[in-house]
Amino acid sequence: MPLLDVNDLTTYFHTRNGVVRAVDGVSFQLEKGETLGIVGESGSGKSVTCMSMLGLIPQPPGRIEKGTAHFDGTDLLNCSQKELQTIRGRRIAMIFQDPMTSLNPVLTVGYQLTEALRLHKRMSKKAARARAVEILELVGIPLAEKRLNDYPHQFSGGMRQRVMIAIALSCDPKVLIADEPTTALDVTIQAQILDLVKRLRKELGMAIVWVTHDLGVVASLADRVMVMYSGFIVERADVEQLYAEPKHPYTMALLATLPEVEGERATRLESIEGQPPDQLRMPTSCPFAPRCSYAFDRCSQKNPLLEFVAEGHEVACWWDVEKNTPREVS
Amino acid sequence: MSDTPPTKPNATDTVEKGESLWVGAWHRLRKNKMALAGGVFILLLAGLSFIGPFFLEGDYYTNTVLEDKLTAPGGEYTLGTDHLGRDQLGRIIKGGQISLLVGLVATFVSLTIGIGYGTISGYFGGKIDSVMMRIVDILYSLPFVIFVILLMVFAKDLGDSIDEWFRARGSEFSISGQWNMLLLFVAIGAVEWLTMARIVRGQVMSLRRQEFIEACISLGLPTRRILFRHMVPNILGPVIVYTTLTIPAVMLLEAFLSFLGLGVQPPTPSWGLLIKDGADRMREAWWMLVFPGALFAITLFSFNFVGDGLRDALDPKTSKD
Repeated sequence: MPLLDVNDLTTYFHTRNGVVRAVDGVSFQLEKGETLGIVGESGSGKSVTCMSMLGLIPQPPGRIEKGTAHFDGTDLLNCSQKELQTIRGRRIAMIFQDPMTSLNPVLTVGYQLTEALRLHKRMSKKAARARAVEILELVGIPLAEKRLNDYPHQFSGGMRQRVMIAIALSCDPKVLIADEPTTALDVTIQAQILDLVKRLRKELGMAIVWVTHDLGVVASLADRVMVMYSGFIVERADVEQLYAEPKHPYTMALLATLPEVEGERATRLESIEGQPPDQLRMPTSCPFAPRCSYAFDRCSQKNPLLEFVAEGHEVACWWDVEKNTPREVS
Repeated sequence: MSDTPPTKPNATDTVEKGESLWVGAWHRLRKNKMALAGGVFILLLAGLSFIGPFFLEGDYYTNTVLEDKLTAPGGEYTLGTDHLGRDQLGRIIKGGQISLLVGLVATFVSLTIGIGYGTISGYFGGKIDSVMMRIVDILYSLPFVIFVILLMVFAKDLGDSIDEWFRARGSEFSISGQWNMLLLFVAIGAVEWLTMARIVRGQVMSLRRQEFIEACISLGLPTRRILFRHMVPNILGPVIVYTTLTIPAVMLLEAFLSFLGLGVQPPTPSWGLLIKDGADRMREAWWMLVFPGALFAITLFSFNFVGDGLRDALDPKTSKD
């Protein structure tokens, strides 16, 4: 049984201008100890997917229309906020994009680290402090004992993200959801944080959902990758397979935008023509069709569903890029 | 801040000790001479007003000696006497007691209501916020003086009724003596919290969008804890500054109400009443205006200095290390 089983998750935002279909029927499973990468550009629904699972969507305007998210036998989407409070932080933890704003500026790092421990694990002040020191050392913060009394502004960006990871890991969660945790960091710090996460994953054995728009980051970290576009999953595969043989035109275009380091002087950076679609529209056609160089008449009539095209490789596309023909409709 | 040598050992010292927010704030406040002077002055004044009377006769502020009326300062009466021959020093002491009490208690009332109300309104937003803020708007639109007059008139006899209720049950408890003061606290507090609630709401709303609040939610912290452990300390800066502005405003309000005959009832003095009496007799008896007036002004300055100092001290981002 998968650790986390999300089925047909659909989250809409009911705004004044209409319904924004942020996440539209997303299903995925997360096995114990597995790392799942969610890739997509801004507004593709990757963050909303994660926030929906933890009940962090502001309601209203957001609403989870349908779907289930089973975690350890409980459906997260049907939990009351009270029940969710016992799951958040304790069994599913989350880290956020910007370490500069994710820590409370007026409370010491020690307080913020021990708070969840004392609350969830009912630890004494002393025990929680000892655990906090231990976990800070685990994430590679020197002089942990002393630094507990420091305020967030006394830490650098990379150190703060380490603290955030420490807070998230303090209660031994089964699942860590990381919402673009390295986006706001510079590349060297990013590399350090990635190494740290890889090490922690090996030591603590938690499953990770890693949200990013950086394909390079996912390549080095994830076991499986799912690519999202306009609230849909368009392709899902093991990481090597996805990079070796992308089967969705969007994934191919995304990979083409990666700068080449080898060879002669770098050529002009590739980009994907056009804009992501307006998510107010009804999903009657393939959302990527207007930007897709393979688009043909069927694409504008019906939105393709995610289907297996190879062992462990799913694609939602009408075009078979390998055979260069329209895919046979079953 | 120039008097602390930024030496290495000193820096690690503070780290080792584990400076809490309040200890750190105290270190920073101590370096602000004006705030410290203001704080010392307020403490002295409070000591004089509340402990001083124990060393004086019971009727120190009402003892009327008509032959000695309008005596200039010096001699038997250090600060002179008023138009009824009452000792000015005694009246200033008693007046300080009343003014400080009204200022602090009414501000505390407004602070408590304002922070609670504003935090809840700003945090939950949406419909709750709309309803709560419309209530504030309605209360704002009520003319304050009429509101207080109504309160004073209708609630005046309530004090006697409460006394009777206790007497009927064989209790010695009596409230009617303090009833007027209590009403004053309620009336001023009930008006002053509106602005506080608005300020707090605005602050909380901007904090609400901060990632660290989302992080708190994702950590599974209960809402009450997020509100009062994570939000409130973040808004203390503006709240404290506004509080130090509220205390003088409340003291002025009290003076105004007493002037109208709605606040403190003569012969009990308050600084507002003393200043009013002094202003009436400015030409014949300057001491009746100058002493309470100067004291009032210095007190208001002191509160402002302390507030300013506290704001700087309580913001950990201003610490130099």
